[in-house]
Amino acid sequence: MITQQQNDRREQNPKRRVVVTGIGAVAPNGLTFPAAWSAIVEGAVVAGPVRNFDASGFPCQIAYEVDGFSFDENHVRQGEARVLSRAARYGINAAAEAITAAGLDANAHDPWRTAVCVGIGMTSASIDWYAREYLDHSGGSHRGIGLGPVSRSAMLDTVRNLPYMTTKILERMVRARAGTTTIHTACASSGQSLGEAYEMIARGKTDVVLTGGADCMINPFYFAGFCLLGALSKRNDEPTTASRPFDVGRDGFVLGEGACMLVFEELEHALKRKATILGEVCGYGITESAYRITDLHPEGIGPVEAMQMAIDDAGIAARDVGYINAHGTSTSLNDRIEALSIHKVFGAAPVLVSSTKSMTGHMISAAGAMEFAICVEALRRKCLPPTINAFEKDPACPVTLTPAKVSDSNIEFALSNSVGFGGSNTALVARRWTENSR
Amino acid sequence: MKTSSEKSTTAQREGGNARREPVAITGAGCVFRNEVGIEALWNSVENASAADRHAPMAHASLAEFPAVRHLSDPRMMKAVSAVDGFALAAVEDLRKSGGFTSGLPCSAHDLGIYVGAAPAYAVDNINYADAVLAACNDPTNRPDTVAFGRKSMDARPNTLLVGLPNNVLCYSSMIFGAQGPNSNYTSFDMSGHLAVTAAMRRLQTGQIDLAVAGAYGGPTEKAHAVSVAWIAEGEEKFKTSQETLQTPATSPSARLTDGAFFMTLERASSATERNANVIATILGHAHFSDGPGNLSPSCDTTTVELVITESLDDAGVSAEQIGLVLWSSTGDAAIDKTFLSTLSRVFAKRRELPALGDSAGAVGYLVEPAGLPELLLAGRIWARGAVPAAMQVVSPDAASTGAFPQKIPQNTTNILVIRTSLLGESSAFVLTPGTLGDLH
Repeated sequence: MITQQQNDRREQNPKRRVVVTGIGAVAPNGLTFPAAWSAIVEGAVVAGPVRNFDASGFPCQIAYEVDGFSFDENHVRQGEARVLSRAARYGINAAAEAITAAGLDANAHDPWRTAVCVGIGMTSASIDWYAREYLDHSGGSHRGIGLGPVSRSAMLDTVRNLPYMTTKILERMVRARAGTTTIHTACASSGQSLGEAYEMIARGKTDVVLTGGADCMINPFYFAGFCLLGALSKRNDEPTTASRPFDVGRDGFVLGEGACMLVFEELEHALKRKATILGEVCGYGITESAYRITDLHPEGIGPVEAMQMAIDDAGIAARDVGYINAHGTSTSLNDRIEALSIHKVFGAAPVLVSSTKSMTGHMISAAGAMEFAICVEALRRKCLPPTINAFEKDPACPVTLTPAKVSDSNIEFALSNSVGFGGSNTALVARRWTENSR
Repeated sequence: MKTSSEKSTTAQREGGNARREPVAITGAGCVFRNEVGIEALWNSVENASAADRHAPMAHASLAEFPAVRHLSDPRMMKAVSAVDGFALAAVEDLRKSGGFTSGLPCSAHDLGIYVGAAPAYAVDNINYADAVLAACNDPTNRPDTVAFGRKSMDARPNTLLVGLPNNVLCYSSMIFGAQGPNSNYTSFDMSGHLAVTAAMRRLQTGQIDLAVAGAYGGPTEKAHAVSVAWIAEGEEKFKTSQETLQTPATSPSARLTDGAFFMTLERASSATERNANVIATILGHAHFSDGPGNLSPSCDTTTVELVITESLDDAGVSAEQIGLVLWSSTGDAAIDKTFLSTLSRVFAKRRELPALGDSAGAVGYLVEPAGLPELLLAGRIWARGAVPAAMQVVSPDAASTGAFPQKIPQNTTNILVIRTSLLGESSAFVLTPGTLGDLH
C-alpha cells in the first residue's frame, strides 16, 4: 500500500511513460510469440510424458516441453554455442524475435541509453558431472575445492549454468551499454525484471530496455526437488488436464520451459522512430511476504500489497482492471491464497481471471514475462485467454474465471501476477494502446 | 562511438537539474575470513603488510564456519547452504550492530532488501549424493535417471530449497521483517554494486525509507571457482584444444575469497533526523557496460571514463574534489592496465592526484560482493589519511600508477569507489565520508 508520504515523494519524482514495442517467445506451445498466442487463444495443450530424459523413476513424469526448437547460431560467436544451456538458447532466439519485431536496427537507438534486464533461471549441472567432479565415491561426501588442472568438459558443464552468460549475449544483440542486470527471485524473476526495466525507463535512466526471462528446469535434479516438495502434479496418465488452476481437483503444477523477451521503450522515443506500439506498461508493484520460503501467507500478505501498489502506480482504481493473468500454478495453496488476495483487492469488481499455465505449464523464471506479454496481446487483440481445465471451480477460490473465449473484450487495463518461492511478489499493469492513448 | 562530452549528463536526463537526495550508509555487517564484523574486516585490511597483497588467499572452509551460532533462528541453517549461512551471519551482524534488534525506524512495507547472490548450483548440497551414486553405478557409465529418480525420493524434502539463489533475500526479509520492494541479482562480479544501486534509487524516489543491501559469494566452492577460471581464461578458450586448464597463479581465480558484506542505507535527511551513525554518504552513481557482450575479460576506456564523469556529474562533484579513489582490481592484466591508464587520464589536469587504493590486494577477489568492502571502509580510510599498505596498487604497467599517492591530498572532500568487472561492466559511486554536516 502506498502511504501518503510515499505518494508525496512520488509526485516529486514524475515518471516517463513506457511502452512495449517488441515481443518474442519460445514456449512449449509455440516457437514464436504469435504461434504461442494462437495456441493460447485456441486453448491448445501440449503437455505429455517427459522426453528430455527418462522420468519414469519420478512420481511426476510429465511436462510441457518445447518441441522442434532449432537454435539460431547466427546470434552467437564461434565456439559460444557449446557453453549455452537450453534456457540460454531459448532466451537468445526469443530476444532476436523481440528485437526484430521492435525494429531496433543499428540506428534506431542510442546504446548508451539502452540496457538489458532479465530474469534467468537456476538451470543445473548434469548428474554425471556431479558424480565425476564433485563426489567422493568412497564416502559420498563433497570433495574439497581444487584449483589445479580442470578438465574442459567439466568447465563447460559448469559454465552452462551461469545466468549472466545469457545476459551478456543479449547485451551484444541489442547493443546495450547502459548496463546489464540479471535477476533471480524464483518464479517472480521475470515479472521483477520487467518491473525493474519499466522503472529504469520511467525514472529516466534509459530509453530502451530488452527485458524478459528464460528458464528450463526440466532435468533430473529439479524434478527430484519439486517432487520432494510435493509441488508437481502426479496425473501422469492425463497430462493434458494435469495443470488445472483453480479447479477443485488440482494436485500440483506441471513444469514448462522456454523464454519470453520484450522490448520496453520510452513513449516519446518510440513515437519519434515510428515504432509499432503494442501496449503500455503503466504500473508495477513489488513486495516480500517475509513469511516462509514456499508458502504464501494465509491472508495474502505480499500479493495483496503488490497488486495494490501496481494499481496505485498506474494511477487507476481496482475497478478499471478488466482482466488478471493470475500466477495460478495449479497447486492447492497458491491458487486459493491468490484468489483470496485478488478478492481482497478487487472485491466485487467484475474482473475476469485466468491462468495460462494450463496451456504453457509453469515456465518458472520465464513465466512472469510470458504472462505479461499475453496480457499485452490480449488487450491489443481484444481477446482474453480462455480458462481451460477448470472443470469444477474450487469454491475456495473466489474469482470469476474467463469463459472459453472472450473475443470482443473492450478492456483497457490488465494485471499480471507473479509469486515466487522465497516470498517475492510482483504485479504489473498493462494498458491497451490506442491512438487516443497519447 | 560517443565520448563523454557528446552525451547528455545524468542530471539532464533524469529530471533536469534537480539533484537527487544523497543516501547515507548507516550500518555495516560482514563475514570475512570466517570472522564476523566490520572491525575484523578493518583489522585485516589495516594490519596486512604490503607483502601480503595479491598473495593467494587461504581458502576459508565455508562448511566449517559456525553460521548457526550467529543466527537468531538457528533452524534457518536446516534449509540453506553453507554459503547462505555465511551470508545470513553477516545480515544478523548488520541487524545487531545497526541497532535494529528492538525494532525498525520505519514500517515493514518501507524496508527493502537488495541482495547480490552467487548463481545456484545443484551441487550446492549433498542431499542427492546417494541418488547420484546409484544413478552412476550403471556399467555402461551412462547416468541412469530412473535409478536417480527413485533414490532421490529418499533425500530431505527441502533439498530443492537449499540451493535457491534467493534464499538470503528471503531469510533476510524474515530477519528484518521487511515486506517492501526487493531484488536479488545474479550478475557475477557486479552483483553487489547493482544491489546498492537499486536500494539507492528506491530510496531516492521515496518508494522505501530504509534498505538492506549487500552481496555474498563463496567462490572457493568448486563450481564457482571453475566458473571464474573459465571466464578469466579469455577468448582463447573458444579455440584451444587443450583438455585441461591450469589456473595461473596470477589469474583472478587464484585470489578467490569468500565473503559477505551488507549495509543499511537511508536518505541522508532521514539519517540525520533520527541521529543515525553515518559511515559514509553516497552522492552519486553511474553504471555502463562495454557493449560487445564478451564472455571473456574486457574493458574499454570510454566506458571507464564515462562511469567516472557521470558519477561525478550525478553527485554534483568535480574531479578536483576527489581525494581518494578506491578500486578492486580484477587480476586480469589488460583490464587493470586499461583502468589505471584511464584513471590517470581523467585526473591528468590535477596538480595533485588523489590517493588510490586497491581493495583486492587486501581482501582478494570476492566476485559477487566485490566493490562492497570499499563502500564500508571508505570512511575509515579517509579518517586514516592514507591508503593502508595492503591496498597499495601494484600495476602491471608501473608507469600508469606511479603518480598516484597513498596519502589523501589536503583540501579534497570526496571519495570515488569504482569497479571494473571481468565482463566489461563499470560502476562508480561518489561518497562523502560521514554525514554531509561533517563537511559543511
